[in-house]
Amino acid sequence: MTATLPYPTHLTITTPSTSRINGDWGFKRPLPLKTTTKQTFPLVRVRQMDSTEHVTDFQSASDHTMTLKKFQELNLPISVPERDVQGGAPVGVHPRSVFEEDGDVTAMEPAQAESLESKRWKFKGPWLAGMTDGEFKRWLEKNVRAKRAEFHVYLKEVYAKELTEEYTSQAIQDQLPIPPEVKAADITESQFMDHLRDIRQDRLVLYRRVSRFLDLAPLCTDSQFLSTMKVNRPQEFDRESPYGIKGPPITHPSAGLSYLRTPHFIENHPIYGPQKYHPVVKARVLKPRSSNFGIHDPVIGVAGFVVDRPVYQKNLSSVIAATSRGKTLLNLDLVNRGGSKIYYKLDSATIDSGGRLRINISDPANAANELVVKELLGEDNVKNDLYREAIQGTSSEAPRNPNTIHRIHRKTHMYGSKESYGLDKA
Amino acid sequence: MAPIIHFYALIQDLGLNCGSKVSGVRRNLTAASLRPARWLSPTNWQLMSAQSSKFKVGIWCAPWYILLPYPDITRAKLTFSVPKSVARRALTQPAHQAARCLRALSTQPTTTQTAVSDLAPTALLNPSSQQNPKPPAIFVANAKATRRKKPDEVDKTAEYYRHGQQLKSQIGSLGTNLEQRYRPGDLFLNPPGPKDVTLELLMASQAHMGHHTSLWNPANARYIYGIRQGIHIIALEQTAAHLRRAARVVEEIAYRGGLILFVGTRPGQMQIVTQAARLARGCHLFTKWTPGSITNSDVILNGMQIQMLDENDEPLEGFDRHLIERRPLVPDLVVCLNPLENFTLLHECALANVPTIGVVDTNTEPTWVTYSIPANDDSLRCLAVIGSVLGRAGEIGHKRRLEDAKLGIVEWQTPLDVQNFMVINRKLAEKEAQRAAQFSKEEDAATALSQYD
Repeated sequence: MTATLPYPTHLTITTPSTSRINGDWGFKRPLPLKTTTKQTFPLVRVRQMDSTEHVTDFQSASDHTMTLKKFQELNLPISVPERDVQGGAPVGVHPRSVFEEDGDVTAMEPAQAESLESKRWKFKGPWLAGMTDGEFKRWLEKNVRAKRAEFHVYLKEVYAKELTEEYTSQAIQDQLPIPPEVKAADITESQFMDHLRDIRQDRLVLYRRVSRFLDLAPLCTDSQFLSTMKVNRPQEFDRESPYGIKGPPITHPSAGLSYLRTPHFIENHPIYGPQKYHPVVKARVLKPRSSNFGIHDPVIGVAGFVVDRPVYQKNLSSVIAATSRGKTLLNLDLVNRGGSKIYYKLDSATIDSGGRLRINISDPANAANELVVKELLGEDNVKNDLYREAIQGTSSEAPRNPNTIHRIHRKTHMYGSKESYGLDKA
Repeated sequence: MAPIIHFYALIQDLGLNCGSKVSGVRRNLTAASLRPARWLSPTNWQLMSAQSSKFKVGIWCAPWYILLPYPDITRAKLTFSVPKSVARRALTQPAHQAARCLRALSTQPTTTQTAVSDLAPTALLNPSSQQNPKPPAIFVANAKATRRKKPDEVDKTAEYYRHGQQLKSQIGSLGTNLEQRYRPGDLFLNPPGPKDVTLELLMASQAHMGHHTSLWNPANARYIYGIRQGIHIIALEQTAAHLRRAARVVEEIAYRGGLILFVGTRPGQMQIVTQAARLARGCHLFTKWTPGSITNSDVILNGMQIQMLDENDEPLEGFDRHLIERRPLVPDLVVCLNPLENFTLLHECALANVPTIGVVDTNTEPTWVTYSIPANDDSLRCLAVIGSVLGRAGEIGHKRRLEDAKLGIVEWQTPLDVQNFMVINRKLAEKEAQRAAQFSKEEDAATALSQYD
């Protein structure tokens, strides 16, 4: 694993405490006790079971494991990436789960593969937009060139099917008997060459034939070639694949991070009962905006991940900048440990084609929700005020049992002080 | 001016403790004039119903009082419904208390003021005097609290116990059985024997993990199953077979009264070798092997204590002279857990024709030992399994030997030096006897002569 990889590549291994004190983690040799017995959670990743130096090469795996735990505490389902990333606010777009049965298919028939083209995430061919020049050339040489004859056969079959449909519809239109089916063998070589010349000019059709033959990952290029469409050749357009813009994921699109299928479950509050909204989460302002250092967007982290915010919430107008939220995002906090914190609402999470987790957050829409969360965490200062009052003895509360002398228990008793001698009460 | 209804007095007089509940407060107000009561303490009260013209007040904790801010409270009629048992208890109270109670029950809000004034400390009613009812005593913290009389309660411990037992008999067998498969201490509390050797046990104890592939000794190729994650994997069938064979060797040597030495000189192997030696009644070594302890034992082990035992392991008398002058013992079998660090020992054993058993990892030379056990020699868990299996084998051999000795079967021979000593000793004893006989004859003759004198 390197610092540049956004995902862990090694297994995290744990052991019961009874074995940990013996150093027994199930490896070739006991791990040294000095470095493995002090952690709260025994988590280790092994890079080499044995090395030429006769040591097991291991390191702590708390980083990724605790990040995973923190992410799972967010109760956030992983969703399919949004189709349009034009930067506009997705209005009325509900994130779709990656576990929806129609899209989460990996074993399928050829016909099914064609129909699921814009929904599935697994493809046999590469994603052309993500290939470098060298990769593309190598792929052409190695995988594509050998399939030339096969492709011709495929094209002939498709052409035969097309012709059959055309003749049939023509016959129905002219109220003639339906002609027999055209077979690939019936097509003459010159006829086929004409067809090849024809579709060569039609990039939309040609790309569809090629991509279906090689099962290429989808590209969102259909709209660019609408103007090149031929007259009298109808094309069906499906919704664009969610993976067309950024490429298909390298793993299952959930990456095994969350198995929730929907965010539509009700959170229960210990005091207030079922809640309409999910609780907001505390985010950390990793880098406040500072134009001096070229940071135009404040960088915000949730549960160990740098998160994305909708574009329309990013521009801090002077009105917003004057609010406490705006100030938190603008100013560097040197007083609080870990910098300033701010509450955000979680919208969705996706895995991008690089294997990176993308969490989308937005400003909390409901102020009461934030207050409820703060109260539960003891950050609303209500309790603090109560305690302070109790300590200062200015509480407006009447005593529970009036028979007892009203005594302030939280006050620390000072021997020999003015109060203990009763001198402060004139 | 809002009148104050003093619940406190009422509840005290009714003998209600904390946790009891006054079931209802009914008001004959119209719905239009219904407004929620204002609480002085929001924590102890619950306002339950505002839909109907009733509301209920539950007292969950300490008694308290309530302020009803109605201007027309004079027209409100307050009735309390009190649980029957409480009412009964209230009636059995002393007369003056009961009177107070009744007065409180029938109080019209207008007369409440007077009713309250003689009930409770005025401090409560007057917020200014509430602050400080008495001048504070000096050293209040040290003052002893007056003991409160504990309420007489029937001891229900036995009843609870019986109830618990009954519950247990009814539902005790339900639920899952949590089976604990592995406890690290089990290898020492209940050491496995040769019969317990399974591939599962060996794999669980990491016996299959060899060294880095570049560290291998090609002589171990026949024990190696394959490569995984950069290390050689030892074939556990081979390990199990070799371990059983070694156990058989240990058992037979123990059956023939042999002396077995268990050697493990790496840190952490002390417990393993001592346990194995205790089971097999052998010797253990967990520190450095003193070179020459076999080949030069006359010098190095000179003057070590030796004991002579018979076939029933009873100490024998009359061998003191032999024990003083005899040569030190040489083990009849050496079990080495880390052959790589003990080449000297193994070499000396080879020179002295002492058979050896060794745990051979993929980087070890298997020809150093007589009986190799291909296994991971770095894992203490694996070595504990091997050590305890061999120790148990020795234990079995000794047990068999003693049982057979009781039947008169002895499968071992007296060592040659002891035999020689015994022959010499016997001859000496015979000569002694002859001399003694001669001497006694002469003495008899002398006494006979002296008698006649």
